[in-house]
Amino acid sequence: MKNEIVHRVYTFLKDYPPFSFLSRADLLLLSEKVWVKYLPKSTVLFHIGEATGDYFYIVQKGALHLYRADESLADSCDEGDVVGIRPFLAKSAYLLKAMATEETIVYGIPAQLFLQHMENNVKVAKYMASHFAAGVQNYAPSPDSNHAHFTEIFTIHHHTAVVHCQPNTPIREAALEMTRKAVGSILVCDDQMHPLGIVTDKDLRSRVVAGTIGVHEAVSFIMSAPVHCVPPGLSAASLQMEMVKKNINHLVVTEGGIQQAAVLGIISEHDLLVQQGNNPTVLIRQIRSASSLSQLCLLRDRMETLTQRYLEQDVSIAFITEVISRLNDEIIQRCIFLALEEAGDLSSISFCWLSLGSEGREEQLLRTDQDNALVFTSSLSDEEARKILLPFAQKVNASLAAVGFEYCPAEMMAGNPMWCLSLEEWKSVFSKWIHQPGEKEIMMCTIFFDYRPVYGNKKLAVELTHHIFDLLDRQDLFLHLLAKNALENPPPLSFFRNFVVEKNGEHKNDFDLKLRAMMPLADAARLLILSKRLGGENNTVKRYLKMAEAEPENAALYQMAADAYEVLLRIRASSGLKHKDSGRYVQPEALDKMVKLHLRNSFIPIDELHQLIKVRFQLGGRI
Amino acid sequence: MNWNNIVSFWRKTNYAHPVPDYYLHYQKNYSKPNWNGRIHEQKFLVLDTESGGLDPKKSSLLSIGAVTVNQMGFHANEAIVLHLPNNAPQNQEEVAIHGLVQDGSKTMSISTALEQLLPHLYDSILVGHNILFDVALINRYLKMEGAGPLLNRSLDTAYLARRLDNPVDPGSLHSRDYTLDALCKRFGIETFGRHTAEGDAYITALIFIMLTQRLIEKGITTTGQLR
Repeated sequence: MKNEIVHRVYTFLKDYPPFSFLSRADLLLLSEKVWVKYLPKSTVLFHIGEATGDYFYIVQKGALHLYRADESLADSCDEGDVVGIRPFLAKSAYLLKAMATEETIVYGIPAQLFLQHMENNVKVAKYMASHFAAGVQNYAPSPDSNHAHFTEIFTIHHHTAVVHCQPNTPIREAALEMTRKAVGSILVCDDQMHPLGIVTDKDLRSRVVAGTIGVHEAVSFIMSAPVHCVPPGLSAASLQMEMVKKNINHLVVTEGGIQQAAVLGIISEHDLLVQQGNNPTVLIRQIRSASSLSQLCLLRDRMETLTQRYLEQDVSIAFITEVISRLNDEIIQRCIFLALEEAGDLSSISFCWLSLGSEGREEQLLRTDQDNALVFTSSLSDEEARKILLPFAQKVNASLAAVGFEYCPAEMMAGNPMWCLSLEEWKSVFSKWIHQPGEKEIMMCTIFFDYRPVYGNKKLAVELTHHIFDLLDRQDLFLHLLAKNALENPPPLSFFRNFVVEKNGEHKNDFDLKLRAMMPLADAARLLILSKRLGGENNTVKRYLKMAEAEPENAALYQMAADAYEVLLRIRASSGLKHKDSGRYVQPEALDKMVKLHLRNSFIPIDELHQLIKVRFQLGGRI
Repeated sequence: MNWNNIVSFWRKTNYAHPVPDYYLHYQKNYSKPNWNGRIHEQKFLVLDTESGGLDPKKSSLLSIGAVTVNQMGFHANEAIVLHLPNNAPQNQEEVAIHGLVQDGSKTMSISTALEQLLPHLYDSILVGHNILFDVALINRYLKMEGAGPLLNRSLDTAYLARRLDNPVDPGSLHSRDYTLDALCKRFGIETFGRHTAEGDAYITALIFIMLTQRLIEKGITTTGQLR
C-alpha cells in the first residue's frame, strides 16, 4: 500500500502537466521518490552555473522567480509550475537563478526517473519538447511531424562523407585528419566500415593533451565505444531525444541502426542546432527567389508553421517577432520588386514604402490586415508622380492580399490616393493632425505614428520623423491629448477581478485581447517614446526597454510592461493559430490556468502606467 | 539519569517478557542530540499516532506514521507507516472521531511495529502535535512488550506555535487556535489526507518546518533553543 504522503503527492501532481500524462501506476512510483522541500522567503533554490543535482522541481505552494545573470526577471512560477528541468534536457548547468518570493514548498522530482518516463511516453515527450526545450538554440521539436513541410524543414541530413580511421591509426594521424577536414570528431571503423568507436576533440584534450596517453598510441585507446547507431530518416525530434536519453553528442547512421552495418553518416548535436537555426535563412532565400505570388503564399504558410513551432517550443517572443517581421518584410519587398517589373517609369521618383500599425511595430505574428502608405519626392508635380505611383502601389496591395494579408477595411493602404503622398504633403498632413487634434486626428496618429520604412528611400521616412518631432516640440497640447486617448482604453478586469468580456455581438463573452490589453500598452509606449523624442523604435517591447534605459527610475515598471506585452503577443498568436483567426478574441474560461494567470498578471503594469501618464501629462482626476 | 534503573523498574512489572532485542539495540545506538548545533543540521522524526481514544492509559494504538525531517525537507518514500491490530472492540465513539473502521488485513504485530519504529529514533528528536500523548501511548505499548520507555527528547508543535505567538506566557493562549487544523489553516496547508497517521505526520512536519523558520527569524539558532 502506498502511504498517504505518497498519495498526497500523487494527488497534487496528477493535475499538472507533464505529470498528468503519466499513468496512475507510473505517477505513483514517481510520487514515492518525491522530496518535499520547504523554502523560506528569499531562499535561492539554485544559482546560475550550479550543476544540477538529482531533482527538478514543481511548486506545490508559494512562488519562485527566475532571474537571468543580469538579475532581470526571466520567469515567475507558482503553484503547479515546473522549475529547473531545462538543464536536465540540455545537459547544462543551471542558466537561471531561482529564488522563493514568498514562503514556498516545492516537490523535488527525481530527474532520471522522470526522463525514463519521458522516453517511454509519447505524450510526455511531446509536452516536454514543446514546453521545456531550452530555447532557440537548443530545442527538441515535437516528435510527430506529420506534415511534409515540417519534415522538409526539420529532417536532418547526416553528413555522408564521414571522416574516419582504423582502430590502429596513431592518435596523431587521426588528429591531423580531423584538422585537415575541419571536423570535431572522427569515427573509428573496421575495414568493412562498421562503426567501432568515436574520437572527439574532447577525448584528445582530456585523454591525450591533459591525460596520460601518447600521440603515437592507437586511437582505439582513447575512443568512446561503442557508438550509438540510428537508422536513416529519423526526424530531428527523435534524434534530439536519443541524444538526451543517452547523454551523447553524436549518433552514427547505419542501415537499420545496427552496429554490424556499414556507416552511412554521422550526426552531431551541432548539426541539429545548425539545421534548426537555418530555417528562417532558408525561407528568406526562397522568398527572394520566388517568382510568383502563389509561391510567396506557400512560403507565408510555412512561416506560420514556423511561428507555431516557435511558440510551442517556448522560444522568446522577442526572437519570434524579429524573425517573423524580417520574413514579412522580405515578402513585402518581394511583392514590391515583382510589381516594379510591371510598373511605369519611376526613374524621376524616389519613394519609400511604409508599413503601419502592428506590422510597422514589428509585432505581426499572424496574417492580419495590411496597413501601409507611400512617401515620395519627385521632380514631377505631386499629382503627376502620384498618377504613376498609384497603379504600382495598388498592384502591391493586391499582391499582398493574394499572399494572405487582407485589404485594410479602412483603406489605410498605399494604393489609396489619401495615403500616397509626397514628403511635403505628409508633413502638412501631420502638421494638421498635431495642430488641430480632434478625436479622428488622434486616432490617425496612433496608426500613422508607428510607420516603418520597408522598401525604398529610407531618408524620406527619417525626414518625416524629424518633422514630427519638431512639431511636437512646439505643441504640448497634442501629447496631452494623446495621453488622454491612451487612458481611454477600457479596463481589462471588472471590480471583482473577472475578465471584462464583450456583452454582445459575434464575440459575446469573449475577451478582447487587442483592445483591452495590448492597445493600452502599445498606446502608452508610443506616447512615452514620443514625449522623449526617441525615434527609430516602433516595437512596443523595444520601446519599453528603451524607456527603461532613458528613465532608470521607472525601469522596473517598463520592464514589467515589456514582459507583459510579450506575454500578450504570445497568447494572441497561440490563440490565433489555434482558432485560425487573428487571435484578437479569447474565451477566458477556455484558457488554461497558467495562461489565465499570465494574462491577469500582464494587466498589472497597465494600471501603473496609467497612473504615471496621469501625473506626467497633468491629467486631472484622482491619482 | 540511569535509564537502566528505569528499565529494570519497568521490567519488574512485566516478568512475563524479557527485554526485546530491538529495545536493547535502541538503547545502545541512541545518541543525544547536539543541542548546541544548528537547527538545520539536526534530524527530526515527526510522528503522529492514531489511537482508539483520547486517554493514553486506555486507548488502543492503531497506527504510527512518521517522516524524517532533514534540512527543511523530507522524502515521501521515507515515511514510516505502521498499522497495529486493534484488540479492543471498536466503540462507536472512536469510529466517530476518526471516521474509519479498521481493516485488519494491513496490520502487523505490536512488536514488529515497535521494532521497525525504534531504529528511526536513534539520532532524531521526536516532534509531534501534542506529542506527549503519542509518547505516553507508545511507552505504554513498549512496557507491555517488556521494553523501557522512549529515550528521545520531544518537541511539541502546539507548544512551539504558542511560544511563537506569546513567548512570555504561551499557556494563556486559547487552545482552539492551536489545534492541527487551526495551524493548517493559518499556514495555508491543505488538510487533505488527515486522519491517517502518516497524513497527519506530513502536515505536522510542514507546520514544524514553518514554525521553526519563524522562530529562526525571531533570532533562535541552535536546536537547544527550540526546547
